[in-house]
Amino acid sequence: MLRFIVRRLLQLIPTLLGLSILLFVWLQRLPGGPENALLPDNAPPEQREALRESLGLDEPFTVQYFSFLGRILQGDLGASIHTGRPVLEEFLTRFPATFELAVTAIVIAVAAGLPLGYLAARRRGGALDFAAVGGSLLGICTPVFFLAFLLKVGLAEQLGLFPSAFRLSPAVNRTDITGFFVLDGLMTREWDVVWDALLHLALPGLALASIPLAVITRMTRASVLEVMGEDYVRTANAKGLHRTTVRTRHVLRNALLPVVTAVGLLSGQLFAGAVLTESVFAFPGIGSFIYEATHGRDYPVLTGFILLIAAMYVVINLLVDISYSLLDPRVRAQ
Amino acid sequence: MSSNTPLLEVEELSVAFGGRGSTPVRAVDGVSFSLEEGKVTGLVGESGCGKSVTSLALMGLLPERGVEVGGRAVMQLPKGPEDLLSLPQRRMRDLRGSQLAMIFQDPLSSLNPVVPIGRQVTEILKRHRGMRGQAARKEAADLLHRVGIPDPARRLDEYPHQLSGGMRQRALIAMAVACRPKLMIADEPTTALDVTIQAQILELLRDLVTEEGTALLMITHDLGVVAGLCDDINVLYAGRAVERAPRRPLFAEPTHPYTVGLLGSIPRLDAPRGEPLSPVRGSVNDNIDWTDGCAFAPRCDHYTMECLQGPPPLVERGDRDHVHRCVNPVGNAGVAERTTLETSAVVGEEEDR
Repeated sequence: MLRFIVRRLLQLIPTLLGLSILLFVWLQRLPGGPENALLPDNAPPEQREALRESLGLDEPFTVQYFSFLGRILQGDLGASIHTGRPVLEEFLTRFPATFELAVTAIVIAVAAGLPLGYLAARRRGGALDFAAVGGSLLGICTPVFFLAFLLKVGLAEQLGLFPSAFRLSPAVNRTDITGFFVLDGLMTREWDVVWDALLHLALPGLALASIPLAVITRMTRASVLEVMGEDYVRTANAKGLHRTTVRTRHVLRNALLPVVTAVGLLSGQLFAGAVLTESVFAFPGIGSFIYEATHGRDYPVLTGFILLIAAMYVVINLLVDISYSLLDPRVRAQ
Repeated sequence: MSSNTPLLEVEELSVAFGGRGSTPVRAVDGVSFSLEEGKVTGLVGESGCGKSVTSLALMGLLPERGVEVGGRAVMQLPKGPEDLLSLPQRRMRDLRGSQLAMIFQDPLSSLNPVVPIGRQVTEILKRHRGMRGQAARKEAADLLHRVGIPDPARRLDEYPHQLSGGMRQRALIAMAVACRPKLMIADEPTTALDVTIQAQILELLRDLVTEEGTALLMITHDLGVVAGLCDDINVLYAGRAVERAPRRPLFAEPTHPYTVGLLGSIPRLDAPRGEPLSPVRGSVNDNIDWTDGCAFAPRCDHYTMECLQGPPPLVERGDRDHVHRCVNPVGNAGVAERTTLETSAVVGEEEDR
């Protein structure tokens, strides 16, 4: 198992190397540069050139790339052109927000999707099945930003049930330990912070959960239906086992295998930051910062963030594979 | 229980699928037979003749919706005789695994891939015999040992994919015999195995029947299996029994043309060189409905117009044990076939010993 993990982590190196080249080429090709965002429209061309020079953007592509690579190997991702702060620091201050949001969305999606998919399969062709299949189709089809707007306007602004922006109400004071608001609140027993942070997470979390929820519901349903027809379920029934034993040990245990993979892949996407959802709710996470950085052509932030996200994605996939091999002995053997 | 009361008496069992809008399909249509303790009864026929559906109906494992089961299947249970077909699901769950057990065709797909073998054996011990922990583990190891799995203690923690095909079927048999059921149904238990393993599994089943006095219902399309194992044989065709007889008379003097055809389609080592096999021509799809006459008529070499005048009844052929459903049975006309088939029965008996 350890060898497997090490091997998978070593795969990170070529992945990130390839990605960094792609990113560099892509950013070079983008029209406009940071000088357009930093300087007013009527700035003279000499001033633009001077700025490009000071940022090192006048160097040839290969020189830029290798100096970037050299810095990265020393653990330096550079600094943001706009804020001047190190990219890693910018990432770490925003990551907890995105992490909390992603976890909220996954918890909602799994907590609702698994039982819904299971019950839909059990009552195949019934009203609940119809509602689950139809609802999940709607969930997949609805653009997330549109749903985010609907929730924000309806539940937050019109009805005032939830806050409409940010991670915390200005009136709430919190002690910072880790940057994870809910976790900090629990550690310091500031229950008002926990509650307020959860309220702020609810709507963006719900909007973000829509597609994973739909996918998990459908996958669970399909998987349970398939497993219920398997020979070993018939064997379990032929042994006279109790209905609940058959359903948990024999049906669910097997039906959840593909769902675990799906949950892992979906979480990877969520941790990458939800650009649109975070923007709608002015949620200060990775997604909304990438959105701003793209507008400002903040190359170091874009490359740094995307590389960090890619690394995270690989690690999450590794975790999925590990959990899969724990659940399925046939995978373990290979 | 008196010795002449059969353990299970199946009367006029019928199973129909579908209905509600579409015409129901009669998979099993008035099948009757009885099972006795310590005896092996064969249910023989080609694919689609209703063998497996019969066994699933007796086990109460048919889907609850869209299936209509008729007839009676009275089994002698510890608390007296009861009709399996009319028992509620809850009660059937108590009986399955403890009083009646089943062995399936494909041992790999019949075992849960993510649960260790040991657990799959102990769960039945826990359910019906209330055994737990080390006691259950010990008993499970004993069971695996009993069905001929070497190094059983180690096997307990292994998963189905780590066992060979024959071992898997042995493990399934261990689960079936775990609670010493009175009745065991084996649905083509050797089909997925290679020939040497087939012989071992059949021997194991035979031993279990003689040692425990279990009644075994053997479902197969393989007449070699029948010849080596079964005491009584029911030949099914299109959901009905077409011939029923003890092994010896069935092999020596088959009367229904379908049985004759089945026996004629076995390749034989003692046949003269170059002699072609005589298979039953056509396929099950050529059936006509039993209500219109004999369903086998379109494939039969002996059929007359009489065969199409309504369903043929089951008639006794001289003695009570040998019955067939044919208006124009193979009699003296089939002398040539009979002589070869008699030798086949003798071969079958020799294999048995």
